Amino acid sequence: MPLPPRLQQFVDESAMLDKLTRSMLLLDYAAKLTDYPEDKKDNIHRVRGCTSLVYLDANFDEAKGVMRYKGFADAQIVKGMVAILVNGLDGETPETITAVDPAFIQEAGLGEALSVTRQGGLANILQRMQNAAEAALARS
Amino acid sequence: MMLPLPSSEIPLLNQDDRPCYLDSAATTLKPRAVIDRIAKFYAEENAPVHRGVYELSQRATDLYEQARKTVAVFAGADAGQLIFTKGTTEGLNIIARAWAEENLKVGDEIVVSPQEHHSNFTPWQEAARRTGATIRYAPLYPNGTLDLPGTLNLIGSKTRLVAMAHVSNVLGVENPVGEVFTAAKAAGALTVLDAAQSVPTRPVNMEELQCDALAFSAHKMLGPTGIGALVVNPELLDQMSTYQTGGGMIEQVSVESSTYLSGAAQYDAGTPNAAGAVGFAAACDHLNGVEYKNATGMAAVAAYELDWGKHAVELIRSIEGVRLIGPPEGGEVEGGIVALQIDGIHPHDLAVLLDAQGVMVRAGHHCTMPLHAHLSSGVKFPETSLRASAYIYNTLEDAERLADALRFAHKALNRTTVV
Ligand SMILES: Cc1ncc(COP(=O)(O)O)c(C=O)c1O
Repeated sequence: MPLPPRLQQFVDESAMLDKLTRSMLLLDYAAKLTDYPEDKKDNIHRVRGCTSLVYLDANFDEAKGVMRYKGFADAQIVKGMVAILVNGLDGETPETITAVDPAFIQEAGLGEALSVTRQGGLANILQRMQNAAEAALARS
Repeated sequence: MMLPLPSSEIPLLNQDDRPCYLDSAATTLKPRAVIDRIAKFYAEENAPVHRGVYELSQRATDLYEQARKTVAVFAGADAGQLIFTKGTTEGLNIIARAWAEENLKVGDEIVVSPQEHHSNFTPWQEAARRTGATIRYAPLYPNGTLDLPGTLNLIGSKTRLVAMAHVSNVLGVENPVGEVFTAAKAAGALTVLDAAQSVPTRPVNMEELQCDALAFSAHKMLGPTGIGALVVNPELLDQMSTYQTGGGMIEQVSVESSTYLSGAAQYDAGTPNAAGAVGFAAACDHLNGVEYKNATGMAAVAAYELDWGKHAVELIRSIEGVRLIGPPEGGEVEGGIVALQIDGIHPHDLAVLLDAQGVMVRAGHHCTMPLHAHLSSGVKFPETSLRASAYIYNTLEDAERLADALRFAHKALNRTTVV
């Protein structure tokens, strides 16, 4: 199954970059991720296992049959990664989202930038997003 | 060999694009001499230690015991006092298990400070939990350094054990262990020194410091991972119980009961890490042979680290917005550790952007969560900091690369930070 188009586009772009340029790109993405609701910065929405504070809000839009995501991180590089996932998966169907193969993280050259702790953060965040999509599938 | 060690001696640095490795307080790079020595052991000398009658095994045993002597002398002790461990962490845990948990009881007190590395913190918490003893936390000044009068006040007739780092892995400064341990000994307490950051960076003499036990790791001083030393004074060694039992440390084993060897040999349960020990000794030899400004050996290492630290701190102080936590506020540079925070910027972001520029540093709590909690007031990301730490292969140019990379990262992050 191919990646959702916006995610694929990022992977293609990122794979060609050197580390520094990729980091700067992540910062640009981070700057665009602005609308996370304050009242959802709580333990329920917190993604554990990241070096920085990460929040994720995932909802299923039943009328349209798609997932809606919002995210936040206090570290900018991590926020950039959250932004890539949110931007890449928001508005996609739960089927598409659950089929995303985490191998793209390595392909995009993002493996090294997040592995500061034992629990690889980005894979963790993706997992949370996929869990929410799976729950939506189970309900519908 | 003159310091800094040339890149040609350190395979990991010997590349066209020389990496700027500044995480040596976590683990140092290895010189070719040490790598070759370990390879030689496996290629030509490998055999089980303390177990064979054939010549190869006896030679491996000799090498292992010779390594014990070399490392012991390096720490100012005798071979009979040296227990090989996996590293500092295991050394401290051995004291906690084989002495503290066997000897402490309700009402006894352990003195330790929140400045400590978790490896010199949680073993005592565990020992207290298991025995009912109480931990008294030594007070720190706001900059994280030890409040000496306050600490001496805590030490009294109930004190049974005082554990302290010789050099902080975040602040980079020496604790006044001589004073603290002298008071502890006068009170009849056991004194335990976490020497993970001091033995690799300066001459350390166990006797002068009044410590009963001292632990350090080979991998922080050019040696291999998976081996360290716990040096114990003979009276304490007599009072310690068994730690792990099994092959290699027994006197007599029967179905009714078993008896064990005494002294340091008792702590060699299982096939020992002979290659590690030999590599550890090679690292000590290597350090003994370095020179810098009329000094040799560890005095040269200390002088070099100090010069590097002074240069790095001067450069970093000139960067706007940086808050140095190591060296501590109001304190002097004492070695090659520089720890900092920039308000409003996550250390993780700085570390990623430094890495992207070929500069490797550590971001996080550096296994000192209580210290970071103590240093946190008014800081946006209190639990973490950025730490750059040098060793004898880092050049002054590395300090310049660090400062330049930090300046760039700070600017890049300020541009986008919309918190
Ligand atoms: C001060 C201090 N104590 C203890 C340790 C633990 O050493 P190791 O991980 O080699 O057991 C370290 C290093 O990580 C340290 O810096």
